[in-house]
Amino acid sequence: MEAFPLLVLENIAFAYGARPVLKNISFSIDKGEYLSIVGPNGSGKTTLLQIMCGYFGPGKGIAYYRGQNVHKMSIRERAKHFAVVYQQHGIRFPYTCLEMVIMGLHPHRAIFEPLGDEALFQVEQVMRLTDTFRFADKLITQISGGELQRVMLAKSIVQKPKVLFLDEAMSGLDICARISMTKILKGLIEEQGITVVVINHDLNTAYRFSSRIIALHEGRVVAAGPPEQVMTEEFFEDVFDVKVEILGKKGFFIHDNIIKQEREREIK
Amino acid sequence: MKHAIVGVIFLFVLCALLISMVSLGAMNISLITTWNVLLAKLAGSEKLLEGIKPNIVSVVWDIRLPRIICGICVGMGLAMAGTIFQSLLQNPLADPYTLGVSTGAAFGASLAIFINIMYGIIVPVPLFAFAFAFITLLMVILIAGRGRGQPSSNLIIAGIIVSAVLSSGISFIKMLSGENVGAIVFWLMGSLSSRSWKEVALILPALCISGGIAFLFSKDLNAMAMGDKNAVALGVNTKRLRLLYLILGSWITAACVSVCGIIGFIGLIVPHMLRFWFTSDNRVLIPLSALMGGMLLSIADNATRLLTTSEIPVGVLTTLIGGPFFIYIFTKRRKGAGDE
Repeated sequence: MEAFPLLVLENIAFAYGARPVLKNISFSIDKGEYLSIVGPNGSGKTTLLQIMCGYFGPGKGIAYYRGQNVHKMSIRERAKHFAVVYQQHGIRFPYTCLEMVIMGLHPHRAIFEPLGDEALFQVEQVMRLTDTFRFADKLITQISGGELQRVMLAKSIVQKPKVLFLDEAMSGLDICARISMTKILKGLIEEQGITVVVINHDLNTAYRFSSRIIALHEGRVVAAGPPEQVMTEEFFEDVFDVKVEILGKKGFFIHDNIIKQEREREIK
Repeated sequence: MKHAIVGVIFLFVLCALLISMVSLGAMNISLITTWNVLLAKLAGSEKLLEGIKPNIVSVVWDIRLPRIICGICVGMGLAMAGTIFQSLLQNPLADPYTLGVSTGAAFGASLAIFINIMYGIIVPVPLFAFAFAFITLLMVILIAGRGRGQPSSNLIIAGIIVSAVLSSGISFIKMLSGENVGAIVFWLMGSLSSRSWKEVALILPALCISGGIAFLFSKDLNAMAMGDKNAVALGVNTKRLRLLYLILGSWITAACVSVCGIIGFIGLIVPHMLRFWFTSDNRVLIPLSALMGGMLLSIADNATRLLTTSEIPVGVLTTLIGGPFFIYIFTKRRKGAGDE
């Protein structure tokens, strides 16, 4: 563990026009964490992630990476430290999967620098790790959504980031693909010491795999800590409006009644 | 390596086309004579010209060659601009014609011609063409950004809207020109006939400089083709890059339109085919599309020059072929899985 946290957010606030999205958010992330950001739709998760990775600047507050203001780093410098996997890509050109993964080398390569053996070997290793090597020559317009997402993950790993951000990148995947992707991420944390920050709609995988959870609700951090401490029955009621039963340390069972509706019915 | 070989083959074919096209025409000139004239002129040796009639030299060097070079340059430019616009806007349907940039340039050029004829003030046609091409492109992007629905279709719709407005603007200028309307009309149809070294001098530097810069940043353009967010995540300054390529694309288009009016669809067809055959990598795509665009337009131009007696403007021919191709891509795109 390093003496200082890797990423520090200080009083981050952001508004789209007059509509505040994030209010006074402060927390820090240590090296080697698997941090899940959870919260209902519209709670500001994606905005927060985009501020953290530098895509846009905060209205107020500062984000630091190793003591450096994230938004004062050059775009290229940031790309050498941060990689992001998004949920949707909308790429409409027939690149091959291999070409796509090689693009991960972009921040580390000069304009016409040829691809060395070492780099190619690294690309192959990553493609084998993400199980994308067998369709390396296929066009990305011809593969399934799950396969594309693995290709994009491979591209981001090839980028050799210190922090890997995933913006709902697993939302479209089936449970098996989700678990296998999470395991790859856990492996990267253990072997390469990277830090992973995930926006996660799947609370079960967040509970089982995260080292820490940050819960957002209406633009504020309402809970932060290890999953079993954060994900309590009260938490689900307050943040997600659902009733749950906690099953020891194994997880939880979500009931299908929606608390807000019940309360409204009672008032009537 | 494979792509380098393709490039060399394309270059070779282009040179072969150039020489054979120069030798073809109403006046029968053999390939050897053509070759000798070209060689003599390029090497500055009068010796090789011995035994060749001066009028043949003049036909080859002053009439046919500049026209054919103009055609190749315009084809190169339009195809390159198409590649740039498609990658930059992440839209396989974009090209100078469908985005309305050509019409913008044509409007600027018509305005300049009009001012030149009517008021006798000499305003530079290419500068007007560039200014209006750039403004048109910005307007199209702005309108598309405001519209609801799919961003890529919005761009084309915005292109059509702006194009329609500018077309009526051009009609208005034509009407105001009265008797002098012929100068604008003929030029607007997109013809390469009677283009001289003057036009070559106009387009060649623009093509080389803008093409060179476009090629230099083509690696960043690859990242840009994956969308803004992904490009930023890969370390690309998208704002700066977008501005650079918008200027380059407009400049190339304006140079092409200034030389020969509106020629449609070259910029759409060429990058599309090359992506299909070879790769989407812009480092390969930009030079290859330039070469193929040059080949395609010079073939089309010479077909109209040689096969028809009244010389159909080449713009008419490319649009006749390009239109159905556009429909094909459009319908295929709609059916395509994973699209948007």
